[in-house]
Amino acid sequence: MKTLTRWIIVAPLALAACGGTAASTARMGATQAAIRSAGEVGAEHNPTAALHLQYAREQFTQAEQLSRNGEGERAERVLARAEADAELAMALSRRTAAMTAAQQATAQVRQQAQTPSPTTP
Amino acid sequence: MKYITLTTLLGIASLTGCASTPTPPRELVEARTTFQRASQGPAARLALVDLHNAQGDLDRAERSFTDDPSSDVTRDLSYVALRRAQTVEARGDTLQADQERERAERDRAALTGQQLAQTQTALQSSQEQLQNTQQTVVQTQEQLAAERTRREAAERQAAAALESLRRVAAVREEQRGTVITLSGEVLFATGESALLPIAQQRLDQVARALIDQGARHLVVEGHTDSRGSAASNQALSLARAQSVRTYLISRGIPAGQIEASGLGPSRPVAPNDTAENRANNRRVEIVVSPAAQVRAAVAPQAQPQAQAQPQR
Repeated sequence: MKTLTRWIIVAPLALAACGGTAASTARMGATQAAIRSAGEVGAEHNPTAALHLQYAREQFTQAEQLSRNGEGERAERVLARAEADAELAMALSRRTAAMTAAQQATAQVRQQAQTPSPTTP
Repeated sequence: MKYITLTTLLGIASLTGCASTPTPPRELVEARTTFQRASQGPAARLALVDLHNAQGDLDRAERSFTDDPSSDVTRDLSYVALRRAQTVEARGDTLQADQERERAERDRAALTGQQLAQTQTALQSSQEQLQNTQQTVVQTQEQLAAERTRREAAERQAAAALESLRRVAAVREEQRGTVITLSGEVLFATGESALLPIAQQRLDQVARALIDQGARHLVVEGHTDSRGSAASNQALSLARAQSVRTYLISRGIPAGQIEASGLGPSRPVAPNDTAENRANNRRVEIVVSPAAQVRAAVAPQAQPQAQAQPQR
């Protein structure tokens, strides 16, 4: 069973290595850019967003490794996963910021509405 | 033996897979659920393009699952479809929150404008009230100044009246009021109660001064020396007081403000032992009540005069 499993895993890699393709530079760049953007919007300060940013980084590293091994097709798919995680991290981070801003604005209106207006003497 | 067993198991698994519906990967199941939720949330209104793209990702995963249910490609596409669905859901929430914030900011701006208008109205009202108060203050100051001017004029008039009185009679302040003493020698002939012509001139001046002072209540007292009977002196003093009263009334002093009283020799100002003293005792005194307006002006100056000898 262990031998069969090893065969299933190794065979495609060997074939790919023999085929020798790498992930596209454009895809790598796009994923890198998505990861960088997620970091810039503060994804690391939001626990859920930070988790997805971490997934994105790990998968990007994995994709780089696959690409170096000539598994371009698999690397592209892992890059797609990484990019999707990075974009989700960014979206989650923005959602938190937007909701906080909306809550603050609503609270300010409520507070201002409760502030007594000057009365005519 | 081990290989046979494995082959057998794989074969069975393969046959089972062909015979039944394949189980979708967990990512695909979650992607379907998440996409369904996103398409019913704010994203359906606010992030249509993103929702459409997520639909495309989910369709690709579904097709891959149909073609090759257990492949890595299917799992990867399902993973991406799940993340896209989560992302579009988050974007929908974000856009909705942005709208709420913008609405709150508009409300706040409107509220600020409303409150500003109220503040301006209140300020304007306060300014008007302040102007009214300032006008009132100015009017009050003007009234006070006018009153002060009137009072000063009245005081000057009273002082002048007093000075005028002092030229024709002795004036002194007592507790009962201002006492104007006119010598009997000047007013009447001996034993008579009719006024002499010169007396009328003096009483004219006295009447003017009393009117100028604003005297409100006067008592004319007649006094005699001690010669003769008490009854005749009493009658003479009263008749003389009444003569003076009548004349003062004729000169403009209201009758209701003036009384006449005959005191005979009962209140001498000097012992009746010499001719001069008796002359001093024969007199008419006009007592101006303390309520008279002139009193305040007279008091500081009149005190020393009260000690002086009455003029004849």
